Amino acid sequence: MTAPNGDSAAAPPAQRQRFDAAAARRVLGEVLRSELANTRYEADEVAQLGKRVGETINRRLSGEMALEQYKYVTSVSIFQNSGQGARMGTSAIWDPDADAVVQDMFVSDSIKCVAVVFVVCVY
Amino acid sequence: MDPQQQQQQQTTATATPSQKQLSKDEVHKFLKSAVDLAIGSGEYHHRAVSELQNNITQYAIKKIGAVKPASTKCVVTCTVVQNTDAGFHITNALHWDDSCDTVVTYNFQNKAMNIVLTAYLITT
Repeated sequence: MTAPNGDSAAAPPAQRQRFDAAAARRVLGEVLRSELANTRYEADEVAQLGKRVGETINRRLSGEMALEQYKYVTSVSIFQNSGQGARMGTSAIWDPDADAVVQDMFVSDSIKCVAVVFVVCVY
Repeated sequence: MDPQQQQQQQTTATATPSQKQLSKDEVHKFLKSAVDLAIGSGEYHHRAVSELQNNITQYAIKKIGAVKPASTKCVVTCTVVQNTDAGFHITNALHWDDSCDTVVTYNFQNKAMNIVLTAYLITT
């Protein structure tokens, strides 16, 4: 678990605050549920929907995490829930101590949505 | 041309890998070859798809990693979807610096499957 604000006061000012992946995951879950509950898969709207979900996630993360040194890359995949097989994987060349990946999924009768956020630290 | 001048020319002609700019075309070529090399028969088999996705991703990131500047971080995502009547859509939302960060995507489709391969290049 990462240190909450109270503990970081004891750390030297120069020390970078570690990204709180658990908190980010909660934000992801909230955004997915609020944007996607009661939606059906509509081919002509899915692009807009995905864009809205992604941008909302980025806006909330950059606002709530409030750590200026991070860039957020959010990938939102929305599938029509009809039993087709799929597999998604990623690989990264980055700084394992500073960077993080956060993901969550939303499933309903009509859609399956996977949101993955790559959180990349800039120095 | 005297030897000293020649030597000067030789030094300026070489570019060290860390200074070289990675072009989107070059990345796109790596992504395309990753799929071409890994695709095999091009059929969708549920048990084989995990290995297919992994091979594509690993090839792509290895090629990009070998030529990218040291100050650039790279993330490669590969999604393999069985080709049925069902629809899907993948969107990127990018909260970064457009002047130095880029995304390159390669889409492949045949009768059996769709492959979406994306490389994000982020400058630190």
